Amino acid sequence: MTTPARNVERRAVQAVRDGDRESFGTLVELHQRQLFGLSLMMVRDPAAAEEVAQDAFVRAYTRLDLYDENRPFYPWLAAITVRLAQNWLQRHTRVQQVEGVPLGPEMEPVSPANPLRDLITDEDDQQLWRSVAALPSGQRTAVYLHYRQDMKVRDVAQALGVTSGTVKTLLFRARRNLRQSSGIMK
Amino acid sequence: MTCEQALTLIETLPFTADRPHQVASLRAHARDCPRCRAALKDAEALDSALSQLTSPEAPQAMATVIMARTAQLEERPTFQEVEVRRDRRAWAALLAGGAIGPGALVYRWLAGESAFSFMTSPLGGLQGILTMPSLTPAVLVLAASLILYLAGLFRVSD
Repeated sequence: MTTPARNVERRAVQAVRDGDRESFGTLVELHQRQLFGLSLMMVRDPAAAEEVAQDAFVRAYTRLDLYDENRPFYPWLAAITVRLAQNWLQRHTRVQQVEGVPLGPEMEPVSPANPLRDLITDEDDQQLWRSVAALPSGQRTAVYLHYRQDMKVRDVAQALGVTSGTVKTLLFRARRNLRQSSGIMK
Repeated sequence: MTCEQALTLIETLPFTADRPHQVASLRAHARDCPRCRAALKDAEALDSALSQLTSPEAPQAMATVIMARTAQLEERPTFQEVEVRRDRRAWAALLAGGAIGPGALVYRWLAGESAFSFMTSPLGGLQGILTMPSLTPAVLVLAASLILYLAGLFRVSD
């Protein structure tokens, strides 16, 4: 995030803390796309992803007093989203899931039909998204946070609630799986 | 650097950014080794592709819904406000309850022993309970105390 955007973010957080609820809209505008993408990658269902992203923003709003202003806002928001998405996955798969322990794709919900087409128009982008989305949840979340959202391994670990070593393992396995899967390399 | 070391390093390429000397060694090795050069090229292509992973647009109405939900939260009392109200209600109920005692004493003083005469009736308390007391000042005082108590329980929570 650029410095001006970071300043806008800081001012918005401070304003919300001072009681200006409307300023929260600035934070929503800044991060809604990233957060929706993360939710979608995790739960793989657009309607559920929207629900998770909404809940994450609302939870962030109610717990803004717990946010440390000296750290970037998005990793904190992403951590909330990851928890909520994990809860959603647990509720919908009835499987106890621990990050770092890969779930087979057959144990996770798969979105009906092809809603991805509505969200991502480019065929190559769709193919890449599908390849990453086919990974077990821990791996695809780590990949998305690290590569797409440019988060450091340490920040990804914090968001997932695991150690940096676990994140490295997840990324290592994800890259190996992606190389083995067809269509990832153009 | 051996090929085995190079291939291991290639697998962990995304996390070696803080170890530039190792990456430099890897590149030097890859220049002379076709197998490792190909592996490095593949790994870099994968990393490049992943960094271009698209981020779909959020649904149009999402921001509006989020702001509406936060507005609803504003209308609710905060946790601190709920605590203050609960304390206030508890104190009010205590005060009202405390008023019943003096009220009963005043009632007894005004009505004399006859106030509890139903206790000695042949049918015990039942007859006294079922018999409506007449509107004497003592009965009114007791009724007022009870009303005060109920007010403390139910009305102060507003």
